[in-house]
Amino acid sequence: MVTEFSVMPAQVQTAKPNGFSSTPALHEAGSIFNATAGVRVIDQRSGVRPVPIEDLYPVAAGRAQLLGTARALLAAGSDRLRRAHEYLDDGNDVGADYEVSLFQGDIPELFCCSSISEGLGAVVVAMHHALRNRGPSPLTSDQLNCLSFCLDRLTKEMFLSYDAALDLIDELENAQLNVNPVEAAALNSILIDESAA
Amino acid sequence: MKALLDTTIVVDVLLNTAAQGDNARRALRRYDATLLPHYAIKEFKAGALNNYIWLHTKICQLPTWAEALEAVRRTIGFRRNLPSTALQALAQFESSIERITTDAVAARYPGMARGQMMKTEAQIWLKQHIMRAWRKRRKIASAVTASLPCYVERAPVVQPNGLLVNDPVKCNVPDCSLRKRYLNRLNDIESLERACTQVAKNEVVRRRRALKQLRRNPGRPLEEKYCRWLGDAVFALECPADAVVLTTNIVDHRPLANAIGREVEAP
Repeated sequence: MVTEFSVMPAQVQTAKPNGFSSTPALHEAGSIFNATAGVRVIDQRSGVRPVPIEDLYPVAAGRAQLLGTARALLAAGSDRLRRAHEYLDDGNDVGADYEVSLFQGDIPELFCCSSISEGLGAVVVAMHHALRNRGPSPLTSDQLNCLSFCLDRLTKEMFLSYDAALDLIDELENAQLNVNPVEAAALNSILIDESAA
Repeated sequence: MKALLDTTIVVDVLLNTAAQGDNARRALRRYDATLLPHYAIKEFKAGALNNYIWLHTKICQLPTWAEALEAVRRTIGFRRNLPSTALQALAQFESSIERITTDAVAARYPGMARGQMMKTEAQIWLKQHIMRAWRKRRKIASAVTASLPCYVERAPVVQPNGLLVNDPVKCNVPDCSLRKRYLNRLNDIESLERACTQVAKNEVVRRRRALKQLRRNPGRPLEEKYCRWLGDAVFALECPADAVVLTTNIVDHRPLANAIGREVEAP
């Protein structure tokens, strides 16, 4: 989507690196179109030239892209887990595990969006280890339910509070999912022993 | 049967992700009731939890995961030999998200360069591990007992710069509340003091000094350091007659508990 604005060159140059422009029109446009791919700026003297929106609103645009990606990945993940449920209900364990594995494959990219909110990051890391630590075992129905619940919550509330995120991680643990990296055991042997020394 | 939890159990239940943690969590289910002395929470926060928070701070401040581990080597490893297998496992961080992130994905996120992802993941995991451990501390036992009126039990605070601040880890009062609590236990204090004469470990020597201070000068304010030095003796003193002290440190706790007619059990 490309939007046209008519501005003087000097006005374009006043776009600040913090993502906001001193030009009211641009500022307003940024709040509306900050998820678009670019803006066509009409220079009244030299004609039309395209300016990527990241150049005009670098922070806002970058963040909007991140939000868009995360939202899409979460929604896709929710769909996959819903399908996994359906497969499980039909007795198709392979189909269910396949859907879970595909969701698991998207976790690295979801993690790359973790700067969106602390809560999102914490739950994504916990889900990664929960799925990794299951090893070759498929998820049980309860575990799948719990994972779906977490993902649905994140889809609806990417900016969930940190406390709410910790609640979700507790839920994963209650479903017998191990949310800790295997290397945490090595950390125990250093940090806990140090406290007892 | 009741069990009074010592700090080693609290640490294993709340922070230990290895087999010892599972053992401790399972052990709690053996008892009809579990009692958690307030003193154990204070020791937990000032000890193991504080170490985890320290590492979180190092990860936040150093540019890479490798450098944070180097800080561990230089700080903790400076005083004692660290298990090389543990350090190696941490350095490799094979289970990290970075290990399964393709170059194509990583390239799309400039803030997630190779090496940076491990640091970010470790920071995120460690923080949630710390905060969840703190949240659960009072839930692991049936009851929290022997409240310390002079101790302010405050959660670690997240500063705007992202660092966790673990204050307070001390009571900062001129007279420890344990002094008044144990005024009518001077015979038990004397028995514990005698039990401490059999061991020459620094920790035990300090404990004997603290017990002696309590017995000889029960009317004199008890400084903070004596509260810390009392350590395992507090668990023997706080253990009810119908309970046992549950600990992974049987060697240190047994002589103390037995000296005043209590028993100890391991998870």
